[in-house]
Amino acid sequence: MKIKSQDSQFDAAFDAQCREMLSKRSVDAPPMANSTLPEPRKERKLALVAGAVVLMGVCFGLWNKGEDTRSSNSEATAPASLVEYASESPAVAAEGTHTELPVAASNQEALKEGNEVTPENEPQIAKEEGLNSELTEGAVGHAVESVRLVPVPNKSGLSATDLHAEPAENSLGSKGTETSLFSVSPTQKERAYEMDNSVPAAVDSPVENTEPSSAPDGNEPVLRLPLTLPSGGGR
Amino acid sequence: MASSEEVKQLIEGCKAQRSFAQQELYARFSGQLFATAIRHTNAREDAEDVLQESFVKIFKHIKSYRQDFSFEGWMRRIVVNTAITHYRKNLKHRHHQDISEIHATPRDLENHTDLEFTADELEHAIAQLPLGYRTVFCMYVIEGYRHQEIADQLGVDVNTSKSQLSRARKYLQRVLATLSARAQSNQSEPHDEGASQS
Repeated sequence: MKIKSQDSQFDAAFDAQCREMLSKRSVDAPPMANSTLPEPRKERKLALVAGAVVLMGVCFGLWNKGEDTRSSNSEATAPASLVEYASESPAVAAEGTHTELPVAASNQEALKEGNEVTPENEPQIAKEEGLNSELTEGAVGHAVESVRLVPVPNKSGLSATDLHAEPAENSLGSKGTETSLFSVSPTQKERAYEMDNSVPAAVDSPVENTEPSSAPDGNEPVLRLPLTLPSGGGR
Repeated sequence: MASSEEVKQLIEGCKAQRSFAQQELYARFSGQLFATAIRHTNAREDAEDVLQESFVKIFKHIKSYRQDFSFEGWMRRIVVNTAITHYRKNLKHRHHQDISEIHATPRDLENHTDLEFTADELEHAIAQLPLGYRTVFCMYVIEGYRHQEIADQLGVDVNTSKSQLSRARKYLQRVLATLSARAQSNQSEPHDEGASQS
């Protein structure tokens, strides 16, 4: 390269020549270090989110599976637990029967109907009158919330409709009343059927008969649940 | 040389943070940028650090690059700025040197009439400059910075930038004139020896 320094533009020519020579000059560069590449933040975040979602899904699946297993186990053992719960009822435990009488609710219903059945006097009455009550097994499991205690003269020939319609006329203290029946609403009746069909023999209970009655008057189906109460008291 | 279409594709790939595009971009431009880094640093190790740091910035800020500017120029600016930052960090550890102190150029070489040099000779001459002068010269002559920009970047006065550029230019011209004179004398010696023998 030859640059003439005879004019005033010598410096400019020198600069231009230097720029031309060096601007495109290349030197063997070292290989790129791994740290030079920036980490793909979005991909990393997406991977973390996806991993978290998968982990949550797996955990939820395991939890759901365990919940199903637990619920199935509880269904299989529900009558037994209900029997245990029923044994805590003072009214029935005194008689030694495996019934789960919702004493307070049934008494309130009975009081509304005009009966004088109380947790204290019900076993007493049953014992004195020698009533034989029968309670179906299927109804036991669902009678906790809905069963109404309606005293019915079993051998008097009265129909369930009469008993249900006029419970005040069939008090426990009347002669000839030997059996108390429970009237169940249709929904509870269906539950009772389901329960009866699902776990028929898994419970050790003194149930003797299951006879869900049809609707006596055709409008309101009433489930008759005879409750058997031992006359001697205790087992 | 990479065509403009290929460079555009590389740029788009780097914007999408594709590893292959980033490696290809490094392979294509690392040589030129490393030469720029060497001119603005004292040692090769420092130049390597500047190059790696510059590419990190390039990959990080490539989304802000606009197509209407030269991509190579944009990358070279990043390298120069990184080298200046590196220079500032190490400035307190350096002893300031002036051209007049370390290089006593004979007066008779200032009256050179013509210069003839190669790129390697020019690179060698620039490498002998003190780092401050070298930076000003490279920024103004090669990278195209203005004196005001140089002053702002280096934190010096504009007149300081102008004076350092003038001194660096004169120094390089003297060195290159010396090299040119030596080369001319070497070429003439065999001719004279042959004439005397005859």
